[in-house]
Formats: sequence, C-alpha cells, structure tokens
Amino acid sequence: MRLPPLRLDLRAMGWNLSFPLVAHLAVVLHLYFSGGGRVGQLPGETIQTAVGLVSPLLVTFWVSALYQDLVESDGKEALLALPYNSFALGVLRVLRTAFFYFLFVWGVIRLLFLFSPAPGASPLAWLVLATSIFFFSALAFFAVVLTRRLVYTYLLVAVFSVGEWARIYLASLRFGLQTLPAGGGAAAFNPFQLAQPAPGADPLVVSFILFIAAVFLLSCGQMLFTRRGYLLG
Amino acid sequence: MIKITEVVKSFGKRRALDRVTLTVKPGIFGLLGPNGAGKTTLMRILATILRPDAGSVGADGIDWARDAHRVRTMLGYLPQDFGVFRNITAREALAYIGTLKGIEKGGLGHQIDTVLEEVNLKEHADEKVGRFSGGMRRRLGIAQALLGKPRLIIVDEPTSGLDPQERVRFRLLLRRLAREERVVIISTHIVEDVQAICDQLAVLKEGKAHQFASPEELARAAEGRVWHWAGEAEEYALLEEKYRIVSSVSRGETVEARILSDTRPSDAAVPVAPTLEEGYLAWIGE
Repeated sequence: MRLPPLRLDLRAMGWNLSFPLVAHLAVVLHLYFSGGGRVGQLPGETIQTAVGLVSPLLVTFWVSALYQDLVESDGKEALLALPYNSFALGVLRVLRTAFFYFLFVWGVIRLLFLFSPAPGASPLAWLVLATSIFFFSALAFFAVVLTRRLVYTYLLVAVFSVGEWARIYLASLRFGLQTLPAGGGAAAFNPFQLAQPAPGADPLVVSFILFIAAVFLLSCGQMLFTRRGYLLG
Repeated sequence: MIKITEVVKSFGKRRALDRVTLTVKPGIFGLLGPNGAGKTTLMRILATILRPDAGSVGADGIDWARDAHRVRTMLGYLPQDFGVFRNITAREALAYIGTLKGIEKGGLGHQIDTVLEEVNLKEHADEKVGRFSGGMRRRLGIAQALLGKPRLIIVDEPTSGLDPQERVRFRLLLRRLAREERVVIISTHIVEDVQAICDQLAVLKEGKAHQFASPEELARAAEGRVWHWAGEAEEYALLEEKYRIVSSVSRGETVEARILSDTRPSDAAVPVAPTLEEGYLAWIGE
C-alpha cells in the first residue's frame, strides 16, 4: 500500500497549497500589529479565536486540492485506470495531509504566543483545535468526492460554516454562558468550539462528537471514492 | 488475446453498448466508429473504470470483473485529453503515476528517462505540464501509459488535435509498441489512423460492433458502390445534390469526384476499387 510522495502531493496542489500559508501569515501580522506591534500585548483568547476560526476552515483548500486531478481534470480516466489502493489514496492521504497541516498550525500558534503574556494554549484547546481540523478535513474530502468540483466543495464548506457559526452565535445570545437547558444538546456539535465556544458545552464532549462526525464523513467519502465509475462523473 | 463477450452497458434508458463481442489479438486493434457510437464506453470498460451491465471481458484466465486490480497492473491507458497534474513538471507527474503503478523507487527514475526519450519530451522534462501544448500533453499521456511496461495499451482518439508531423510520429510510436508482443487498442473516428497502423479492426455503430478480419475486408463493404466521375462543374453541382460525394477535386474547368452510390450516378461514372474510408462510410450507412 504505497502513498504518493508527500512532496509531490503538496506541489500538485498549486495555489491551494500556498493560500492557507499566506492567510495564516496575514493572521499573524494582523494580530501582531493590532497589538501595537509590541511583544507581550496579545491576549491568549484573541489568538485562540482567530486560529480557531481560520485554521480549521483553511484545511479545506489542502484536502480538496489533493483530489482535483482525480475528480475534475481533463483526462482523469488515466488516473482512474491506475492500480492504486483506494484506501491509501483516499482516507490515508487525508490523514497524512491533515497531520502535516496541524503541525504547520502548531508552529503558527507557538509563534503567536511569543507575542502574548499567556504561557500558551492548554492541552484541551489543542485537542479541540485538532478535532476541528480533522472534522474539516473529513468534510472537505467528502464534499470534493461527492461534488467532484472544487468550487462546489468550497461553496458547500462555506455555507455549512456560516450556518454553524450563526447557530452557535444565536445560541450564545439566548443562553449566555449558562449550562444548556434540556433539549439544547445540539450545541454540543460545534466545529468552531475554540473560536466560539457553545454555551455550557463540555469541550471534551464537543471534541468527541466532532471526531465521530469526522469518522462518519471519512467513511462516506471513502465509499464514494472507491467507486471509480462515480468519480468519472 | 482479449475476449470481449456479449458486453452490454446502458446509461439510463440509452444503451451505449449492445451485446458487443470482439476478439483482440496482439498487435494494433482499431475501433472505428462515429462520435457517440460507444467507443469511449468500451474503452472505459477495458480500462476497468466502468463495469459492464452484462457480458464479460477476459484474457489468459484473467477476468476483468473479478481481477480488476490485476488488469490495472498490466494496463496503460491514454484518454482523449491528458490534462492532469498541471502544477508539477512532466518528470514529477511521471514519478507520481509511477508510484501509483507500484514501480519500485530504484527503477522508476530510469524508466521515466526511457519513456520521456521515447516520446521525445526529455528536454521538456522539467517544465510544468500546465505550460505544455496539446501535442506535448498527448505525448506525456503516452509516456505515462508506457510506465511499468504494460502488456495492454488503450488509446482513445490517438491523433485528434495533433498536427500532421506529431500524428505521424505518434503512429510510428504505436507501431513500435505493438512489435513487442503487446496488445494496443486504439479508438478513433479517423479512418486514416486505422489504415496507417492497424492490423485488426472493428466498427461500432449505435452500440453494436462488427469485427472485420482485415482493413481490406471493411473496404470491400463498398465494393461495386464507388464510382469515379469526371465532368463539368455545373453537372457536378447536380450530382452533389443527389449523391454522396466522398471526395472531389477541381482541375481547371472540370471536376473529378468519387461517389458512393448503389446505382451508377452518371453515364460518365466508372466503377473503381473502394478505399477503407469508403468501405467505412458504406458500412455505417452514410
């Protein structure tokens, strides 16, 4: 079961590779200069809010670009006729890419905390961020395989994200930071838990639910990815 | 030898292939047919991307439905356009595909150099595929198909979009490949391709296939129906309205034409031996 070389996977992404890198650089510069360009002024919460929103979303570009040649290029039949292992080229490649993306985000956060008086993100915050990135990786994989178009993948992820952000925001307005009332358990599903915590939801429970949802999306995506005739579209 | 037996494939209510039966021996097999006849569907079934609704494909004890992975390991497939991996260089694209074909890392670099040489792309090996012309992409496509030394090569519309020089080079390359005990299947609507390189052929029409023993046999389908005519331009205009003109050329005041017709179109027309193209046109009922 051989995976394509990581270097080629990344290079084949084109601008989709560099966009998240540039966007993170922009976040770093924005946060640094919004704190007056002085070290030690940046609140830890600001870092978590910015990274908790931007980083999970941007993994969409890396993961969907992994599959652009297989799903929407002219001549994709040449690739679909290759003796590749569907599981390796599907789920395993998503996991590898998500892992390296997380390492990159880890570096960005460590850098940002150099400008902050806070000691760093808590282990729970790292867990929440990791599961959010994992969830969006799975969502991007499922969306790109389902729609077989990168632009539809971006749209789908964008619409979903706006909807989720609005839902949690409205829940925050209604319940403040109190414990959710009975029947309010839907807020425990929150892909932006680090940036905008669901009112009263336990971050561990949120992470667990995101993890399960990600596994479900990966499985659905993999089922579609195995069907070469479907990918031919 | 590949045996295609009673293959049926439908898309919704449209039957793309209707009980297609063919036998393909080593050498170059041409699959001729008008656009929409089902050629690409058959190519995709042979390339294991689509599964037939009924019927079977097999070769040397290998069943296409049961051993799809094994078939893929001995297959090189070039679709009509090869526009993948536009963001990386030709060499990197071949390395990527070679890895997916399971070629060992140690031998991959050498194989890439060999196939790039074969398709005359070595000096462009480190250029991005996105900057390649249509002809260069096509050559890169055949290079990727050759990686792993496949025993079966499938090429869909091999020469469409190529200039005459590249067309000739491409045909010679396919001819050379077939000499090495390979099966090369080409699908085309360009009769000239079949005439130039194929030693076996079949014609697909509205999803039904008919295999011919040789290109000459297909040419004979028009025997007694091809006429050579020479006369004045005004008379030619009348003939053009009533008959199927296969080709015509002006020579000063007169016009010479080849006409496909069951009956003698004019007293001045004389029967002539049909070409492959005329046989093909007669067979598909043009």
